[in-house]
Amino acid sequence: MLTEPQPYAPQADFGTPEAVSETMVALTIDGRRLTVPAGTSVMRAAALAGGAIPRLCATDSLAAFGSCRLCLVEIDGMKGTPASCTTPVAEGMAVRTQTPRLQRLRRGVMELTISDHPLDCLTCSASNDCELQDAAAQVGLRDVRYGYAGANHLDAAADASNPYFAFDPAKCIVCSRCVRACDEVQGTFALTIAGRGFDSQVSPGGESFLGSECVSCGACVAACPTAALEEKSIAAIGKPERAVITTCAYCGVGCAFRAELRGEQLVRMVPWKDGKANHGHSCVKGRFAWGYAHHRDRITTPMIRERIDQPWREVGWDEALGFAAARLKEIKARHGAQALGGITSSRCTNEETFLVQKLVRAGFGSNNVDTCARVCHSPTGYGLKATFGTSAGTQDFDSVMAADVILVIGANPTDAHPVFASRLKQRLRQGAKLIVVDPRRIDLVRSPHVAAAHHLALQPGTNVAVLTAMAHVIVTEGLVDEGFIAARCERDEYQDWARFVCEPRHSPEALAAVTRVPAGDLRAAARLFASQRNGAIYYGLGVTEHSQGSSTVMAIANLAMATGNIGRAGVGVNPLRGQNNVQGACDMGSFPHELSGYRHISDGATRALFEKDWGVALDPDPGLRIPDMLDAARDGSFRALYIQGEDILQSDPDTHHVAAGLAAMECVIVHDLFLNETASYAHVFLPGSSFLEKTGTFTNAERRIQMVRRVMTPANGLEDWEVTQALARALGLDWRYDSSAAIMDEIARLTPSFAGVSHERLDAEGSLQWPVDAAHPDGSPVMHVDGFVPGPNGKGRGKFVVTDYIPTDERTGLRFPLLLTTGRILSQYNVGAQTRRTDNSIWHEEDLLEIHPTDAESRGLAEGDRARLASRTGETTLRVHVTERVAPGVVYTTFHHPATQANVVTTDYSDWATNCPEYKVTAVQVTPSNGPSAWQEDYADLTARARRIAPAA
Amino acid sequence: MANQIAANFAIAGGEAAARATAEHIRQFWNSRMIAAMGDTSGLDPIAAAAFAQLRIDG
Ligand code: SF4
Ligand code: SF4
Ligand code: SF4
Ligand code: FES
Repeated sequence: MLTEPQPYAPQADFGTPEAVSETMVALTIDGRRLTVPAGTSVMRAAALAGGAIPRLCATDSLAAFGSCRLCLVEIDGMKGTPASCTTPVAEGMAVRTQTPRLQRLRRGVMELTISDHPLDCLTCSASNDCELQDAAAQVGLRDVRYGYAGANHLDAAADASNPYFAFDPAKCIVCSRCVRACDEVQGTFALTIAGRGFDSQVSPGGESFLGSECVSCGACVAACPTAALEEKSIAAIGKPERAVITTCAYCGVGCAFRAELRGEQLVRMVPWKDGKANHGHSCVKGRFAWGYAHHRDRITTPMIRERIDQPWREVGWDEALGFAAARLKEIKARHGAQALGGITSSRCTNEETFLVQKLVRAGFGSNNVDTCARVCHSPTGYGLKATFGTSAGTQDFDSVMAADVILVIGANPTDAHPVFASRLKQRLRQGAKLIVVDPRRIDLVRSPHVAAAHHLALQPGTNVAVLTAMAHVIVTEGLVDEGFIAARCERDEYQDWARFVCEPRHSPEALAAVTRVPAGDLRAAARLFASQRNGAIYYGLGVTEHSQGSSTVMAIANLAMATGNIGRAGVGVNPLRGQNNVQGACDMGSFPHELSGYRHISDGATRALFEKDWGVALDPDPGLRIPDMLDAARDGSFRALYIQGEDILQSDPDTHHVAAGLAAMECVIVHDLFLNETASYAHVFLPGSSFLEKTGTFTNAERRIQMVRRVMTPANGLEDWEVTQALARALGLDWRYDSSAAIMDEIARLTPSFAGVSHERLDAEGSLQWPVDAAHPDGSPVMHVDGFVPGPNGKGRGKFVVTDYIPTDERTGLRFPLLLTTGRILSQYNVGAQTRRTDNSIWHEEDLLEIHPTDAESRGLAEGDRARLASRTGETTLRVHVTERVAPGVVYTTFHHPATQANVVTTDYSDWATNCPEYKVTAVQVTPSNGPSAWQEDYADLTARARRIAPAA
Repeated sequence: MANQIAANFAIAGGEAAARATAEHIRQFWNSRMIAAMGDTSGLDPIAAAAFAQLRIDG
């Protein structure tokens, strides 16, 4: 049902939000009997019964407002004509939705509205897709008595400042849906209705939408009933003719969208109301930033070259694959299977990722497969497996609506996970308490109608110390949930842990010297967290990308278990994943030491399962990780790498190290949409397909598996899994998948937690949260409900792990007195390969260095000055932004632009357990500068040369 | 790297820390990387003990 493109129709709108209640209420509407949950509005009940009461100010994404008076009804025994959107149903109620009196009243309302609205429907971009038109038709409006002689707003100037949507006040009916969407759904409070009565007008505060607080999420556009707020693409292209449900390819929230098209031309992406991760909301990236898919930089023809100092030569698929296969075989013959490896992508689908790791293990014959999840969430995998028995977040996103206290640590959801952040803010506005642990004053600490109870602005690199101090308070003050621990956790390990955290050296007072968090604040925060009924922890890369990333994840898990916050709605440990399919890439066996479903490669029984299915023997020895591959390349034992959809040169730490490793290889195959930075070192370029051009699945941060659907023909002719299959076949493997659904069948066959997953089921049910197995046939929104996942020891009890705080080797000193930490912003995405190629650049033209006023002043730096940023590893230059968001002694930047090369500066220190790089702590010095660094200039030169493509012969 | 792993297990105390370190390395390191460590006597004592164990276990 969801597979087939639907002819275009607007998404169903029931007028007011769904009411959830155990009590059912029976009533009659226009003589029809029906039963609905208590709390349902009369309007919604009528819509559920198949009717449609005319309405203007109501829409089911917003609380009923009752301002337009178009939705009037008559109810037996009630005086007057109540508004159906604000009237709840009652037992035995008898409602009439159409009477002569109602018709007369409604026409009057419509006439007034229309008298200040142009009548140029035929040339209006919303024509035939306009709720005002619908309402006029429903009330039988035939003429407008007031005329246009009086004052009106028909000449008001439009605001086209936002690159993606325009505001035309002439078409605005001042229903305030947009204002309420911005407040209630998005939580940004950017819009107001300015003026009163006739003069009222929607105002973005400030000059224009672009100049306002607006974050371009599109919620107001989706809510607007007219063409007043509308996507520019509708005006440019026209009304869509079909819609396909698919999943955003940007971040780990995994918003479901309707891709709305004319022919193969994408007209707009509209968040899908039935999407269980986003419930009809979106952010600027998924909603608007899809133009990269057809950017002129996109390469659609395979290319090869003998050496990387030569220009690229465009060739056919057969030649490119033959060239690649010959080189791979030759290297394998000379140096053995261990000289070959591959990198999977958390941007690609589960099916594609699974195939790449299969190609490496079954085709290349080594376990040298790794994924860029290594550089972001590998500590999550390690830490949650060690404590809870499995490597995944415990909750669904909806769970946050039941949380009473929320601890956000090392995450910046309003920028990195915006749609989840909107939900979180909804819950905070309902009264839940917030604790933020972050070196920076992130937006969540204080934004409209949201304020953190505590912001612990710790010194970067001291997460473990802060969490241990919180545990110290909880245990020593008797705030532990003894019942939970007795019932669910290993007793001895708990006692070891409790003894450890109780040591006086772990008190907030003792640790304040390293954490710089005032002990009183820390104690208050710990008490708050332990004292509420439901405490939920959300964390991000600020936790994992540290030398103690894995320890921090375990410290978080310890805290959740100690306070009994596992196994029900409103609690849990929730990693906020960076890229769209980080969870999936990890699940699919992308790490060198484990097969899909987190089973160690040395486990004979698991290996036997795969060996039987694949018909080859597998190596029981864990393979090389990305940094190991690069080291091995420099000593000559590693020579060939197939990289799907990743730009390791830009995203991995210590760019020099990566560049030297790549340069030493003999066969680098880059499979991507663009000639990315890594491709400068490649011998084979295989063009990739965008998420609009392929079918498969992504798994979001809540373990939700959702379909990505092909809505247009791949520009390169092949979906990415087909390219991997063609490479495998060129290497002599007899792969015959006829669709990505067949790959998912293989995954389900070989992976217990995916046993019940198939494309067919996802098409029918929309999404599934793993584990989907015999014990959880319909999936698992919340994990560890009755017991922890039985680990290798088979006991299914939570394990406390002692996490000792060990300072990073990266220290500040006289030469490098400041600590650099890195992050990202809303409008850009990771290395920016996609977002930089869209109009999103309007919000972020370059990476800026945030620095505290005192640090800036002592260095003679003012806002906008160019500064040199140097570490022990390298240096770069960028402009400074002077702000008190960062504490003195700390500087912050993003890494979205290749010209900045922030990773030239980061070191190759990494997490002790997983080698996840320590992006979040680098000792640096900042000094005034007048131009780009030597590396930046060399690099620009190298990139230009490496990207040459020979003119066709 | 081995020293860093050992440091994080050190709290478990001598013998247990060495066992945990060895087990960790066995799980995540390629055997050639273990072999390539060469003389490990200069490492932190826990890490050195871990490698000694790994060699005995083969
Ligand atoms: S812009 Fe649209 S949603 Fe906002 S008040 Fe005007 S008509 Fe209503
Ligand atoms: S796009 Fe989003 S943030 Fe901007 S005004 Fe509309 S609802 Fe508010
Ligand atoms: S980038 Fe993330 S939050 Fe934004 S639309 Fe895509 S999945 Fe949703
Ligand atoms: S729709 Fe009910 S008052 Fe506007």
